Amino acid sequence: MFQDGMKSDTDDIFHDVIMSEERSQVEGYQEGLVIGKKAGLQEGYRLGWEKGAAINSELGFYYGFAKTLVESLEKNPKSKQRAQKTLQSLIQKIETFPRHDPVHSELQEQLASIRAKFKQLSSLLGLQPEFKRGDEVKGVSF
Amino acid sequence: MLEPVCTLEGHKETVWCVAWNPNGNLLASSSSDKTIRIWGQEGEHWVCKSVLTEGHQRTIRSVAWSPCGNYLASASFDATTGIWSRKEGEFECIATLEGHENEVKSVAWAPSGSLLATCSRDKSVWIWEVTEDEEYECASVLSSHTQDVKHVTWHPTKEILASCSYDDTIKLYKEEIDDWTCCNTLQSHQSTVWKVCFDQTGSRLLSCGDDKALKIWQEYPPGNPEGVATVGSDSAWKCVCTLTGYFNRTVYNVDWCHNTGLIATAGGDDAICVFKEEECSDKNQPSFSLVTTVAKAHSQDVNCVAWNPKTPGLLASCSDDRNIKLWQITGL
Repeated sequence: MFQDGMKSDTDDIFHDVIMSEERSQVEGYQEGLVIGKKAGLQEGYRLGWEKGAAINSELGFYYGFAKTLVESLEKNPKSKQRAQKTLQSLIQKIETFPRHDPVHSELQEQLASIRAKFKQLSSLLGLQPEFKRGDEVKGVSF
Repeated sequence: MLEPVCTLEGHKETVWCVAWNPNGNLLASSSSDKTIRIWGQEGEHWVCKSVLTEGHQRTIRSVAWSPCGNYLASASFDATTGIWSRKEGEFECIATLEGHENEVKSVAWAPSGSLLATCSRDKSVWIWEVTEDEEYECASVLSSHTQDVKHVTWHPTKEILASCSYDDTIKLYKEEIDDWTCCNTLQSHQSTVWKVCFDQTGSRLLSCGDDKALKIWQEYPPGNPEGVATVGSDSAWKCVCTLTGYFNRTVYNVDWCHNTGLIATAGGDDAICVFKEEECSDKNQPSFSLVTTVAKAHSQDVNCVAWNPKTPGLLASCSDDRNIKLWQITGL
């Protein structure tokens, strides 16, 4: 009995030794998976948050600017017809922007078109309001 | 043969652009020295008639005459476009167009004279409308290009605008109901497209670039007999001819003479080349041959070439070597 018991324990120990590498690999994989998932989620969330916040604060700036102008332009009989038309077009573009669909296929295109309208409006009114984006690179060209 | 006529000296730095007025009796040039010079003929000789200063703070990259010849527009690296009015031979800066974020690269008047286009390193193309009381209103800001826009030019009869860019493409624009839109993107160049221009009829485009090639594009309107597919009411444009092997360096500029049909090129190899279309050339597969080359036309990069609109075969060129040269084609 004693002999058998010894034998069985010894077998387990050897078995454990042989399998330890495989077992720790599995454990490590599982642990890494959990940490990686969490880190990825956090990074994705942070990136989404940054981009979303950046785009929407820019659009908010344009929208606030445009809405404030509507009244003053309507009151001023001298205001240019083209400026009023451009203003309406800008507001309409911002209102129809796919704000809740970050993977919308025309998101970047529509954002570029809003920026262009805003520039046109600023030029027509002789104003130089500037929304500072963080990603502007200064350099030289010929 | 391309015979030298004269050399016009005066600019203190690189000369970027030369432009003939519609009558062909005045030549405007712009330079890194922040001035525009107006050249004209006195007797046999070409002389500097005026120097326009204090319009810009930085390099003046290009100049363009209005179709009536009474206005000159100047595009500068100081991010503005100047409008100069000519009255009794004197030029006066009557407007400064602001809006571009940085360097304005090119300016062009539409054939009607009531529209002006500008383009910039800020990747946008702006269209300005001239109102009855000579004010310039921004009619549209187009941000279709993804890189620096190098040049803009108008169709000779229709209100169609073409632009070319560091993003290797050429784009065409037209006015729709409420705004201007990009109606065509032409892709074939392997690198930066430096210049684009129409032929006399406007049914062909010519372009040149960093890929050391000239390309000819043919317009195919809807319902064309060749069966080239089109979208809606817009024409399709197809590259029907590519000229390579003639240039060792970038081709910076090209001009298609509306009188003679001759094509002149200016490049980083200091040379000027002249091409012409071969007789019986197929419209859908045209062939062009080299007429002449002037190897050391200037001692440095040639930046621009321009055919005189009235005198057939009279060509102006300008260079980094600060000089402007006039040439005459002979023996054709």
